[in-house]
Amino acid sequence: MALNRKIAYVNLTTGEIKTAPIPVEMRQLYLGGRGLDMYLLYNHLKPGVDALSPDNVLTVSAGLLVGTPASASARTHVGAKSPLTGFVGSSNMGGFFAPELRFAGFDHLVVKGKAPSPVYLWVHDGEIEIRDGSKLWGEDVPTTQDLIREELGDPEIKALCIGIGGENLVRYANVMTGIKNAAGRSGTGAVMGSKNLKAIAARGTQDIAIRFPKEALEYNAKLLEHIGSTKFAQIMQKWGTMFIYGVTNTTGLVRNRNFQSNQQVGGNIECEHIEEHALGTEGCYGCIIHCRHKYMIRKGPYAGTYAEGPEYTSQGAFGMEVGCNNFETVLIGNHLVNKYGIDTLETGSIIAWAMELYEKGILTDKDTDGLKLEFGNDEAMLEMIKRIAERKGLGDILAEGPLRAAKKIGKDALKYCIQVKGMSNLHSDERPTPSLALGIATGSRGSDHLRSRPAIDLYHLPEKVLRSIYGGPKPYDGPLSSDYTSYEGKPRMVQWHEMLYEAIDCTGVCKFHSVFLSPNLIAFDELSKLIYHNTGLEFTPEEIWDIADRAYTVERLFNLREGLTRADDWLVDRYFDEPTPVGLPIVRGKTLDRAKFKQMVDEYYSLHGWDETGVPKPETLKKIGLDQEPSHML
Amino acid sequence: MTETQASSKKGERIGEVRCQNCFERFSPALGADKALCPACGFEWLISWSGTLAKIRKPVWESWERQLAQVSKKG
Repeated sequence: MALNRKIAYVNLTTGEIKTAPIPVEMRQLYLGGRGLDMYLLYNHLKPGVDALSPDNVLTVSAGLLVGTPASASARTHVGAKSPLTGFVGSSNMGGFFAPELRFAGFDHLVVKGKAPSPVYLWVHDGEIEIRDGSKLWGEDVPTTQDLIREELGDPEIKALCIGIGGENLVRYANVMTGIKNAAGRSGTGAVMGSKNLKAIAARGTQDIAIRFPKEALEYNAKLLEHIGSTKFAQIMQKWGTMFIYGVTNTTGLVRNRNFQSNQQVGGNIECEHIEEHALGTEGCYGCIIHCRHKYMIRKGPYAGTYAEGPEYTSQGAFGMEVGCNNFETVLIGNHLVNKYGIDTLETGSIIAWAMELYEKGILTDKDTDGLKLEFGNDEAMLEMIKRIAERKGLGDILAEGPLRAAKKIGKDALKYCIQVKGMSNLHSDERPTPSLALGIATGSRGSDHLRSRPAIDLYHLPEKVLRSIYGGPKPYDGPLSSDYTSYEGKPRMVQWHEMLYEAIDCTGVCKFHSVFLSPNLIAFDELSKLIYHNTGLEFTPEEIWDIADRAYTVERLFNLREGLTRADDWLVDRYFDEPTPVGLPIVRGKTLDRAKFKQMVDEYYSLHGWDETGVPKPETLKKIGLDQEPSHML
Repeated sequence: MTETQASSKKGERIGEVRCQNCFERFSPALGADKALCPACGFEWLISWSGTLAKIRKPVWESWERQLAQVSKKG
């Protein structure tokens, strides 16, 4: 059944591999995926370890519903202490790896130590082998996966791997699968690289028995019919996440030229341009939406190159933020970061920051080895992606991430850096949107639009609709506001989405099928039914909230143990001091108000049952069963 | 089911767009590449997938003039 998958502990230093069942009691506490991974990290990692040392622990997992009929149940979660932030490292990705890991008999892999030379793991039908990976070292992301399939003689093998970014310990290197599916943001690819672990391959033939198959199929069919009927799904099917650019750039909610403008006036990189390059769309396991474009680069030195994507993040990274206004450049930048296995968002943001430093004379031609690192210089921007992945010249410094790079560059470099907890912000400008600002300030893994972003706040939904969403499953009768520039009721929205995304990440269902960009999709009620029909585990929507709360609080405890303070739940001064210069009237001239923002953080802590320093109160820990952590039950 | 969910399910909003300036919903003529918001007068470029309408971007050439107009209207 869906609950009988195992956990494996792999020690790369000694070569020892142990497997164990996952007790149902642990499922009842954390479900699986991100939740259980965070428990494992908190219990297996010693505080204060160097994230790139053998002492770091890497977790790879499939969510509780992966491989079942539940819609888009494809997500692989990867966890570790982040070498970028020093806090929680946690990322997930779509594709086909997680279902294959489950078919091979495993839900969670816990990898410790460091192999003496490059290796990869081969997981197949209940067995795990550590194999020589020296032939794979130095290969890019797609080639690595092809070589593994060739070596093991099975074209159906699914693998996750690192590219040269991870090998070179770029602190924001990704773990990747397929052409562009990326567990990004946290630098878990560098953790794999530090362990000499190039890849994990999986192939399995073990059935996943569904607890109530008839009901599971019927319910899922109903859910898919609903999801498919929404305007959101139809837009995603056609244009993918790139559709977001049309709204955010037009309004003036993007970062342009690092943080100097909030709109790319005259912007010409909207999603419709993909139609000139697209070869069709692709979906992840079990998904009807197929939001990932397959495309061919048509012109220039990369003409004839096949790639997939790009997502909205790449439009920002290689478009607005760096002042480039050519869709072809976005496509090439997207291809390069995926080939090298480095985070698109972090790469674009850090180059945009370096461009502003170059513009201000803090970086000079001497620092860039003659590269004219100017906004709008497409060639220089693409060259810098390569230098980061290869750690050459200034690229070596930028590969260290914003805080370490700022320290090395010196002068006023840090002042211009747009980051939270050492992670660069998305290319969105949150000065006019307090709810989105609170989300990135308090996100557990650093500045983050995927941890708690109440994106539907931008839709100006009527208050009664907001009440129907945010009024439950835990009762809430406080304020809610349809105005996205308001500070009223926004902490509740952030907390609500935090809980929903945590729960979704525990199941392995794609966030795009949840109330993330559409108010019409899956939330706690639907999760309750999906879990019951597929696994037989019975949870009320309130109980699912409690599980999410528990898992999220473990992330908070992890971060506090690593030295997090209230000061880390804050934004850089530019958000409070520099008004937005352009955009539609609703967003022009906006800064965040320090006093109101502080109140929001206070309210957010209070909703969580944390004290004014952001530490969970003893009674909060007791209520959600965390007063005895670490408990070492797995 | 919320009001939004109900109307979305009925497909009522497939041919509608929502003005990004004033948030009013309106239906551009099927296949039209430009449309004026009837409430605030902002002009938008429209893209289509069958009968599904989406705002593509502003008419950048008249962007500043349009902003000045809507500011004047208050």
